[in-house]
Amino acid sequence: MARKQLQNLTESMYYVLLCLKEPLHGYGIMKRIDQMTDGRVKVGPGTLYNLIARFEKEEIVINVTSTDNKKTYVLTDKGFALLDKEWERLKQLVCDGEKILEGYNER
Amino acid sequence: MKDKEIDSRLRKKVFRLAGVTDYKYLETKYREMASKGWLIEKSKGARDTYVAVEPIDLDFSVTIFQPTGPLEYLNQNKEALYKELCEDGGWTYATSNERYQVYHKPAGADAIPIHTDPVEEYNTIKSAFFKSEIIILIIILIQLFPLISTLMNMRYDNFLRPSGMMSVISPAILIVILSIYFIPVLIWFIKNSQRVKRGETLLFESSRRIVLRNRLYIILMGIYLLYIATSLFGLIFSGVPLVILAIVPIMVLLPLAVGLGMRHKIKKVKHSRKVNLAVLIVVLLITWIVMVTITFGLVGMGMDYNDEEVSAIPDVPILTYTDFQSELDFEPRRVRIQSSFWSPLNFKYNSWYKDVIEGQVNDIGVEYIETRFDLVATTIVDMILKDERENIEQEREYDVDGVTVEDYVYPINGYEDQVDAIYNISSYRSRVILIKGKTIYVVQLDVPVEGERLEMVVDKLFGE
Repeated sequence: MARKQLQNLTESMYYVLLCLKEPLHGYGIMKRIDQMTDGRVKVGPGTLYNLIARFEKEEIVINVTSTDNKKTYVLTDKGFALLDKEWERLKQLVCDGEKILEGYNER
Repeated sequence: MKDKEIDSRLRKKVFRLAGVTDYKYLETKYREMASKGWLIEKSKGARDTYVAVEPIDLDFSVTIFQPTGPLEYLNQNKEALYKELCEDGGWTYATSNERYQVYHKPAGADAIPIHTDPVEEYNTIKSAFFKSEIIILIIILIQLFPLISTLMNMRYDNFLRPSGMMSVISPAILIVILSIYFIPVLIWFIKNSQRVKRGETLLFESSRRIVLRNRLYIILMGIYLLYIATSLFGLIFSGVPLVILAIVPIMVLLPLAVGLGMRHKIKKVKHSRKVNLAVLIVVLLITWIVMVTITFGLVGMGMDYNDEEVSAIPDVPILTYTDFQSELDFEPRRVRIQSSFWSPLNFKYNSWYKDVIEGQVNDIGVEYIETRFDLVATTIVDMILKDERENIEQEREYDVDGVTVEDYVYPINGYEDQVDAIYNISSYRSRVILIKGKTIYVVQLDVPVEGERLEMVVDKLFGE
């Protein structure tokens, strides 16, 4: 059976891809997500490992060698496109929410 | 020698029984052991090795990350990367095996949990399950076939032979044992599949329930092994030649030896999964051919055992010629005595007699069955009646219409003060079954067993 392609990203997936706009190693990703979200989102090493393995398989990220002997990853063009698409989708969600909820909150 | 003694005092080896979904239980167990001064050092096969330390409060994380099947290899690079990520996340590596890695950190210390996404954790466990424990489901299904087949073709003599119920009890106990292990895993997957869809965290069975389940599992396994051992002893003492019994260890040890040999070979020399699978299939095929050849050879060597005759008849009321006022000497032929858990004594014999009523030489065939429980006696009688009804039904295909099975298999009344029941079980009225409490006689003559002749039989077998 063919593996299901990534459709909508989970919160963990989204933040991992966001971090990999520039090359970064595993621990760096975990740390950056923590800083970026003020500790709201945490991605554990097990979860990160599995996400990276899946992203690599689907050519969303690639492994680039690094000087300190740690594996570093960066988004591929396909990864950028996926992240961009997800960002657009999230913006649309917010936009739709605003239309309905803006006036409602002022009442 | 001295070093070994010191080593054994500083190390403790403990049997581990945990399914693929029981890893939180292992975390609790490792934490408790550390607080008692035993830190997990190695986890191989079904055994954990602990090393003596100062009692310490640690939090553990048991994590399945790279499930491999029996024909695959652990990827060392991936393992190293995983270890690096976990250590960067604040965890200390303790040990690992083919299924999981064990990490710990000081209790309460700040570290990111290894799994933070329940969906990803659930999928990893599911993958591990399909690569390893699915074999349990296959074994359950393999055991179901002989069980159903035996139940469908079961005859009354299954209760009488020492190994007669083995083909029912053995797969039944194995199915129960494996189900105790398998059903909770299945429930875990069903329950957590719904939870992760709702965005909830994974839910695990409590340690107390797992401990209880494991105890039950071990007790049942002990009972099963005891049952197998007593059945084998029963067979040995019932006169089955050892050459035939040699089949049992061969059936167990040969596949085990081949399996272990294959595992050793696969782990030693690396090949692709396809190559390993192909080699495994070829080896299994050869093993199967060897086993069939050995089995037929051994059965052939012990074949004459069925013709063995025993002359001593147990000391219970039996029919002889004198009961029919015959002057012939009593010479029973082909007496076979056996006993089983359900029936402590069962024997059959055949002989000839000169019938004084009709003046001709006739045949006596008697089967004596003594059961341990009333329910077994009732079941045996029901089975004999059912068998006879089916036989007569088949015979009736060539017979006249308008005669029912009840015309041939029916109760004979009038002897209630001497026996519990008598049934005619033959179309020629020459075979009867007599039951009293836990004792059953099946009597067959060449002439109808009725009237004066039946009175003689009842008086002899159940008379005061």
